[in-house]
Amino acid sequence: MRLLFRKELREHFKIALIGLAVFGVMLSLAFSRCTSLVDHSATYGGSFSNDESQQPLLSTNLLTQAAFFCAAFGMLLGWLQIRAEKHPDLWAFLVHRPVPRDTILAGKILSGLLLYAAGAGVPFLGLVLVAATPGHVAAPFEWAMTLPSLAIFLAGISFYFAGLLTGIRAARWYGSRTFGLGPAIIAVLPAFGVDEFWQALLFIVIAQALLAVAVWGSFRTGGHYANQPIVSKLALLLSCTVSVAVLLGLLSGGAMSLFLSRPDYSYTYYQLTKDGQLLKITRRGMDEGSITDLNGAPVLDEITGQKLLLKDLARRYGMGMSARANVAEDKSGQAESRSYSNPGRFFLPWAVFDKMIWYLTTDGRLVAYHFVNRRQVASFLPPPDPGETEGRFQPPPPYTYRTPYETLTALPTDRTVYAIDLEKPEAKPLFTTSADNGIIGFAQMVSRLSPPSSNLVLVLSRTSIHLLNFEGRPRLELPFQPPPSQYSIVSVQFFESGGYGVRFDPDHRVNQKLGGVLRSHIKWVDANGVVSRIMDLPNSPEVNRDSLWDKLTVVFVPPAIPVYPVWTEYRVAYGMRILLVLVCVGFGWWLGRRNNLPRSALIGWGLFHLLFGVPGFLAFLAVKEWPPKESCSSCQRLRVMNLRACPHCGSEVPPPSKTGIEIFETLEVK
Amino acid sequence: MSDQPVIHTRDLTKYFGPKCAVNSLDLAIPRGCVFAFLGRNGSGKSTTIRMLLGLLQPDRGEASLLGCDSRALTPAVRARIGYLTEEHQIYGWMTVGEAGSFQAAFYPRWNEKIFRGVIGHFGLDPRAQVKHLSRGMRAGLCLALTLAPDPELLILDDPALGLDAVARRSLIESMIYLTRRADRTIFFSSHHLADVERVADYLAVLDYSVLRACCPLEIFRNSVREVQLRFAGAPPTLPPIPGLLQAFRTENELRVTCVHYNEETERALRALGPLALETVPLGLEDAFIHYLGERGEKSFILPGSEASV
Amino acid sequence: MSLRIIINPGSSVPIYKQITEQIRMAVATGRLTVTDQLPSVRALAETLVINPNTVARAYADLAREGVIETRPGRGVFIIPKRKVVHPSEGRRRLEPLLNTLISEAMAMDFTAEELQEAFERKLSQWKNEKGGTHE
Repeated sequence: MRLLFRKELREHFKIALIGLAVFGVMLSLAFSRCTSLVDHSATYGGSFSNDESQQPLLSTNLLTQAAFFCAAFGMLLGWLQIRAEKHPDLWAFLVHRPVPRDTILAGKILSGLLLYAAGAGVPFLGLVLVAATPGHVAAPFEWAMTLPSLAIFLAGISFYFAGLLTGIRAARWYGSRTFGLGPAIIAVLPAFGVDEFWQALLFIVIAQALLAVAVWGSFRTGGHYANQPIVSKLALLLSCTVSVAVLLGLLSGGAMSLFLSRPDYSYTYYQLTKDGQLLKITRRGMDEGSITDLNGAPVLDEITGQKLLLKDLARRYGMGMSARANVAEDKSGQAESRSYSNPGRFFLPWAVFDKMIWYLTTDGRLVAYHFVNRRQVASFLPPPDPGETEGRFQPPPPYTYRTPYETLTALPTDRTVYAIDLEKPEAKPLFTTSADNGIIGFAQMVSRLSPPSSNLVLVLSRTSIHLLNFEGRPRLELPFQPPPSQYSIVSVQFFESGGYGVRFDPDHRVNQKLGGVLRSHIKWVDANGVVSRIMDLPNSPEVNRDSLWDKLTVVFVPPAIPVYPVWTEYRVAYGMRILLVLVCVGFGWWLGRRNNLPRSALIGWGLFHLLFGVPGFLAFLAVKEWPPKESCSSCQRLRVMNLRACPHCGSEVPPPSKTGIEIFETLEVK
Repeated sequence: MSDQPVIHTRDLTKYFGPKCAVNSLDLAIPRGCVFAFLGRNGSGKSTTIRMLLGLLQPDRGEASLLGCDSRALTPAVRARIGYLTEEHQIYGWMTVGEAGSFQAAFYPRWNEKIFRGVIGHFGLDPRAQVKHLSRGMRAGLCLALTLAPDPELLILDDPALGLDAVARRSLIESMIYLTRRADRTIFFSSHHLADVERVADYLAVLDYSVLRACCPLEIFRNSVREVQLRFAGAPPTLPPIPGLLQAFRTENELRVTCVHYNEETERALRALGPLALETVPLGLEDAFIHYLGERGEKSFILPGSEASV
Repeated sequence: MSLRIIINPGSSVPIYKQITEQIRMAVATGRLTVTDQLPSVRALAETLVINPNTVARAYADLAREGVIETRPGRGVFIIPKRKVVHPSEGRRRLEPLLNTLISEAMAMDFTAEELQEAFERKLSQWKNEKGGTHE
C-alpha cells in the first residue's frame, strides 16, 4: 500500500504545489486587505464594519474566499485523482493486481488527504502563525480565533470526497455525477453560522462520513450502482437526495424571485414619536406600507397634508437609547451567544485615536494596539468591585453599535458604571449598585462634541432602570417592571417636552416558550419622573404565515425532516406533500415491478420514498440502474433480461438462435 | 484440480442499453492450451474479457477464472493471472525501470530475469519515460510487466493492435516461450489470423455477441470449404443450402463457401448442372473472412447490365 | 543441420502439413539422410515461431509414416523408410501429383512423348545423385 501511496503522491504533487501557491497568494492578499483597511479607517476615519475584521482570522471576506478555495481545491483534487485512471485499460492496470480494492482506495485517499493538507493547510498554517506573532495584526489574538479557519479547512475535505465521487460515478447523465456536492455544501455553510465549533464539526463529520462511504462502495464496483454493498448504496442515495433538495431549493428560490414581484412576507411594528404619539407601521417587504395610529386611522403628514410616507417618518423620531438585559448568572454567557466565527465573540473595536485602536475584549479589558507597529501598547482595567480581587468590565453586549472615535466612554463592571477618558486614561465611578443587585444591561449615548450633561448612560439592574449623565446626575429612575426575567429589551425615547417613553419588549425565547402571550409594554413618563400612562401593545404576528416559500418548503421537504408547522394555513401544503409522497411511492413501486425487483427491494424502496419524498425519488431516478429489457419470445411481453426465467410466463431465455453455421467441438483437457 | 477449466462461463450476458453485447456465452477453456478469441470489431470480445476479470459486471450468467468467481476475484487469484490490454496503458510519468519496480513489489513470484529479458528484447532503456515510448515499445513494457509475475493464466486483449511486424513477432515468441510449462494457459483475442494460426490450439468465434464456433484450429479450417462451380452460361440461382456462408457469382462461375460440406451439399450443388465442381482448401484467414463476412450472394456484375442477382 | 523449413501461415495448406511435406521432400532429395537428427519439438517450434503442438502433430504424422522416430532421451532421428504405406494408399496419394504434372505439361503444349522423355531423364538424374535405389 505504501507503493500506491507514493505513486499517488508522485502523480499529483504538482496540483498540490499549485494550490499551495494560489492559496498562499489569496490569503496574503486578503490579509493585507484587512490590515490596510484598518490602517485606512484609522487614519482617515470611517466605520469598522464587521466584514472587514481587524483580525484577519475572523474576517468574513477572508474566510469566504478561503472557503471557496478549499471547496474548489478539494473537489479538483478528488476529481483528478480518479480521472487519472479514466481510460479503462489504465483503470484495469491499477485495479488488476493482488491487492484488495479497498487497499487501493485507501492509498488514494491517504495521499489525497496529505496533498490537500499541503495545498490548503500550509497556507492556513502560515496565516495563523503570522496572526499569532505580535507585530503583524493590530488586534487581540486568541487561539480560539483559529477555529473558523480549521472548520473551513476540514470542510474542504468533504469536497475532496465529493470530487472523488463525481469522478468515479458512471452516470448516464453527467450532471448527476455532481450530486455528491450537496452534502459538502451543507457542511461548509455551518462553518460560518453556528454558535460553537463542535456544531460545525458535527455537520462536517457527518457529510464526510456519508460521502466517504459512497465513495468506498462506488470504487469497489468501478462506479456502477448495481453491486455495491447496501450501506454505500444508502449513502449514495442520501447524498444525492441532499443534493437534489439543495437544487430544488435554489431553483424554487430563483423562480420565485423571478416571478414573484411582491415579497410574500409582511410585518408590523410600533414606533413612538418625539411628541409621545404611538404609530403603527405595516410593511410588506420593501413596499411603502401604511402608517396609522392605534385605531387604524392613517396618519397625515403635517406639511403636505397627505398620508405620511416612510421616508418622512424619520422626521418624527426623537433621540433614543436601548439596552438589553441579560439575567444569566454567568456574564460571559453573553459573548457565547454569538457565532464562534464572529469577532464580536472576542472583542469589539471601541475607540480609535492617536494611531491607536482600543478594543473592549470579552474578558473585560480595554486594550490598545498601535496600528503602525501592530503591537499591544496599553491595557486598562477598572478598579475591582467590592469583594472582588480583580476589576474587569462586563463583556460588550451583542449588537452594540459604537462610533469608534469617541475617546470618552462609559463602561460597567458587575456593579459599578465608570466614565472613562481613554486619552489619559482614567476612570471615574458614576453609579454603583448593591451587592445582590448587579448591573444586567447597559447603553450609552456619548459625544465629545455635546456638552457633558447630554452624554447619557442607561443602566439596567435587576430591580430598576436608571438614566444618568456623565456627571453622575440621575435623570430618570424606574422600577424594572415588567421584570427582566421575561422582558429583556428596554428602550427609552426622549420627548420634546422633556419626558420619556420607556418601552419594555419581551425576551423572544421566553415568549416563544410561553406561547407568545407576553406583550410589549410602554410607560409614558413626564420630566419629573412620574408615570403618566401605561399601555400594553397588541401582539404583532411574529411569523408570517403567508409565505409561499415556506409553503413550498413544506410541500417538497422529505417527510423524514421534521418540518411540521401547526398552523391551518399550511393545510393545503400538507395535503400536497402527502399526495406527492404517495405518488412517489406508487411510481417507485410500479418501476420496481416493471423491472422485476425482488419483494424485499420493493419494500425497501417504498420505505425510502416514504421517508425522503420528492428529493429522494429524484435521487432514486438519477442513481438506480435498470436491467435491460426485451420482449419475451414466448409471451411477447416486456421482460427483464437479467433473470433466466420470464417473470410473466416462466419460459427460459432461449439460447441464441442458430444459423446453421455453428462449429462446435469439445476441447480436450491436456 | 487440473481438469477444471481455467476459464469457465455460463450464460454470460451483457447489455449496453438496449443492445446486447454478449449473448449467453458458454465457454470452458482447459488448462495448458493457447486459445484464440476471434470476432469482428465490436462483437463483444473486450466486453467478455472485462467481465472475466471482474472489471465489468454481467447482466446475467456467471464467469470464473481458475475456479474463482469473476465477481469476487481474490488477491491470491489475481496474482496468478496476467492481463495485457490492447491500449498498453501505463502511467506516462513513470520510467521503464520505475514501472518494473512498482509492479515487482506487488507480486510474490516476480521474476526479475524475465522482466529484464523482455525489456532487453524490445530494446527498452530503463531510464526512458513511458510517455516518450512508441506504441510498440510500450507494448513490450506491458508484456514484460505481465510476464514477469510468472502468471498461470495469461489474458491478452488484442495485444498486437498497432504493433509493427517486428514487435508482433516478439510478442508471439513470448507467447510460445510461455507454453514451455504445461500448466500455463493463454487466452487472447486478435485480428491477425496469421499469428493466430501460428500459435493457437483452439479458437472461438464471436459473431456479434453470439458464440458461433469453439473448436480446435484444424476443425475450423476444415469445416469451411470453398466450392467452385463452372457453368457453360450464366450460373443458375442458388437453392438454399444448409451451412451456406457466401456465394460469389461471375459470368460463368459460381463460388460458394459453406460450412460442414458433405455429400448432401455436394448433391445439391451438382443438381445445378455445373460443367466442373471443385473444392478448394482455404487458409485460416480466408476461412475466417468467409465465416464472418456478409451472408448471401455477392456479385461484381452491376444490376441492369446482365442477368444478375 | 542443413535443413531450412519455411512455413507460410496464410496458405491454404495447414502448417503441420507444410512441415511434413518439407521434411519428406528433404528426405526424398537426400538433404536429410538416415541417422540425421531433427530438432526437438520445442526447438523447432521456437525457431519457426509456431505452437509446439503443431510441430508435435507433424512429427507424429511422420513417425506414423515411418519417416522419423523419437528415441527417448536422445532426440528425433530419420530412419530408413519402412513400407508402411499400403500400395493403394500410395497410389491414391500419387494421383493428384500426377494430375498436376500432366495438366501443367499439357498447358505448356508438351506432347506425351516429350513428357515421358523429361520424366525418364529426371528419374535417372536422381538415381545418379543418390547412388541407391528408392522405392
